[in-house]
Amino acid sequence: MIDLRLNHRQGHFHLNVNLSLPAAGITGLIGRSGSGKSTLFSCLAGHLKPRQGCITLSGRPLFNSTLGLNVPPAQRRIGVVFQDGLLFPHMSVERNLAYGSQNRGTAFWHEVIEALDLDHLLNARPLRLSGGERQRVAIARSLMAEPELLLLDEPVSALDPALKARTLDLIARVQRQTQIPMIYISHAPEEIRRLCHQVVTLQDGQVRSVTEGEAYGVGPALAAVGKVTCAI
Amino acid sequence: MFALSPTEMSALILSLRASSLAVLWALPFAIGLGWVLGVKRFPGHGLLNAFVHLPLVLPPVVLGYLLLLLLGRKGLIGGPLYELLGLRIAFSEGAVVVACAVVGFPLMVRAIRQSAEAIDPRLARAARSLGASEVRVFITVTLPLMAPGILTGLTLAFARAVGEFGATITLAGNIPGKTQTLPLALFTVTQSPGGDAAALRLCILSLVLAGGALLASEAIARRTNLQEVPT
Amino acid sequence: MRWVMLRVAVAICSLLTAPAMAEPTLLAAASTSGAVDAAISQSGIAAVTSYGASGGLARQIEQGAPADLFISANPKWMAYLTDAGLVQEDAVLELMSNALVLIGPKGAAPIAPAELPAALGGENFVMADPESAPVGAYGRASLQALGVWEGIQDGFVPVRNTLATLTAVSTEEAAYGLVYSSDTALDDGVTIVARLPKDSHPPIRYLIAPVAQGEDAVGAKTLTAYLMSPEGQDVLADYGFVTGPEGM
Repeated sequence: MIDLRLNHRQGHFHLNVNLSLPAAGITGLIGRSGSGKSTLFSCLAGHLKPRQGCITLSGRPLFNSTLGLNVPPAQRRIGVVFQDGLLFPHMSVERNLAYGSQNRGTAFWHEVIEALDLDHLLNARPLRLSGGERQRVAIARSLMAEPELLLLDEPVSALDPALKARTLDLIARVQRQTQIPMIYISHAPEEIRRLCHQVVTLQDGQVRSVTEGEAYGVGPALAAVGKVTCAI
Repeated sequence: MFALSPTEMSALILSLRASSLAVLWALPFAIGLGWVLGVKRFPGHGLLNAFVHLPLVLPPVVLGYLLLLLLGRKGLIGGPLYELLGLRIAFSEGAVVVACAVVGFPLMVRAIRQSAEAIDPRLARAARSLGASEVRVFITVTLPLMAPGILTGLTLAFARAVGEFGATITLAGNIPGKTQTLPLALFTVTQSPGGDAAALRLCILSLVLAGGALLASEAIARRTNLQEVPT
Repeated sequence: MRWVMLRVAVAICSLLTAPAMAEPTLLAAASTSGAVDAAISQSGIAAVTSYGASGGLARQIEQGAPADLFISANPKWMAYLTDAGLVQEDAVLELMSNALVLIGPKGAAPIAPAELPAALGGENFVMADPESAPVGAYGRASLQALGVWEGIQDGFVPVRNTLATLTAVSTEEAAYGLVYSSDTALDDGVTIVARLPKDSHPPIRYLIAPVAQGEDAVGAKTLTAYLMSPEGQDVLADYGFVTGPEGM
């Protein structure tokens, strides 16, 4: 389970979330811009420290404001994929992939590269890749680090429709293969209803609803709202 | 006409040696300050930035005088150094290195800060989420991306150091063979009638050194711009 | 409209080229600044002054600087200008002289000049660069005549001017220094430890001569007359210069 209880103010914006997500499958997180998706993303990843609350990942406490606990991003085992890939421009694709992982050359390494069709790109520089290729490398890079949870922040919104569809299929396939739970953030509901097992809708910093998605396969139990207490 | 006299030769070698040492010594501090000023926000940011730029706006002789007060035998820093380590800074080659380092420092910090500011902060976040410690992030991501600014800063500071006069002559004196750099030698020969041939030679040498450094700086800037990722 | 603009332009031009009031422009050696400024204010003449190294000023005059009067601390720079035809040889006058002294930090004990190398004991000896400053050239001549020049070479630090010499001695970066007696008034952090004999160096002669490039030759003549008068000479002597027949 991913237990999230967050209370964070930034100017006029107030994020107030109490959510228990199953640590399985793909959970979609949708909302208009300003709804709090990015803030939630940053808090989960550890890039932003919420004023109050707690975060637990599969029983591992990552953040607890009362206890003064804040695990740095490097130790959270939560991977991130940004909207524009954000590959390290001064490193080749292969070095990018190897950055967070110890398993260069292992079976897993080859599996991921094959699944994302990157074999022929290993020596290329990020500058020379197309948008779609960059996204595939970004996804592969975070998978290589074998995270317990993968956050994807609008990874396909900058791609053209055909490429979008192909990449979404790819993400679904990778999730099934690796069984790494994913949280997929987007502002486009159509994009992710197909992909996700369930969809959490955010509005004005609060959870508006939790609905079932249309992803293939028996989904895990739906997320529960309001059940998280930050135990001391 | 173009053969160098021994004095001129030693001025050339001294200038090269002192300027190189100066920029190398100043580099770690410039990287630290350039990074902090470019990436972090904190109260006192403006003050620190202004302080770093002081050597750029003070008349060099004033700068030399302040350094003399600070680093001289009875100075705030020089006093304890002399008492504890017997270190004499004023009127030595070390003083030349200090003067050159101080005048080149703001140029280095500016160039490094610019390249630090240009780094997408989310790159560091990506690196952290991949498990890298702060030190590893700095060494493997931040520093390589600051490299163009570091190289530019080095060459700019070197060019400035080679031309430095006022602070050098005030803090180090004009001792031939020991502290008489190219600019000081040039000054000396123009003070007597008939020193024009020597003055021309020294002038050309200074132009070649400083001009060469500036051209190198431009070439680096152009090359590294081509490698920028359009994100 | 065009006529108005033209009239304004003519008016501005005439302002710019209006004949100067009695304001002669004086270029003078830096070491004379205190004394000459005082003398000028006593005289009531409104002169414009520019101080610098004698050599630098001579070069500026050569390049056309609009000077009416030139005071040089070193005769060779006056000769430079007479050779170039910018100054009439028979218009050159001797304004005043100066003396050389050895100084130490405040409170230092007097020494005999011959003891200088021993008294230094490996410490720095500081003096304006003989290659570029007249006081340094005179100082070198004097120390050579006294037989101590070789003995001080190890610790000899040539600096830019007497101000730098005074600073170095008062901050104890150097154990001893050499300056004009007229300079000791500028810094009370130093003490005179020896006076160098007048006959150990070529006579120190401050020369004054009119230059024909300025705009006020008459004013220059008046100012020269004042500076050479007993009243003017007294002011100069107050600042440590040597005036009167015994000095020159």
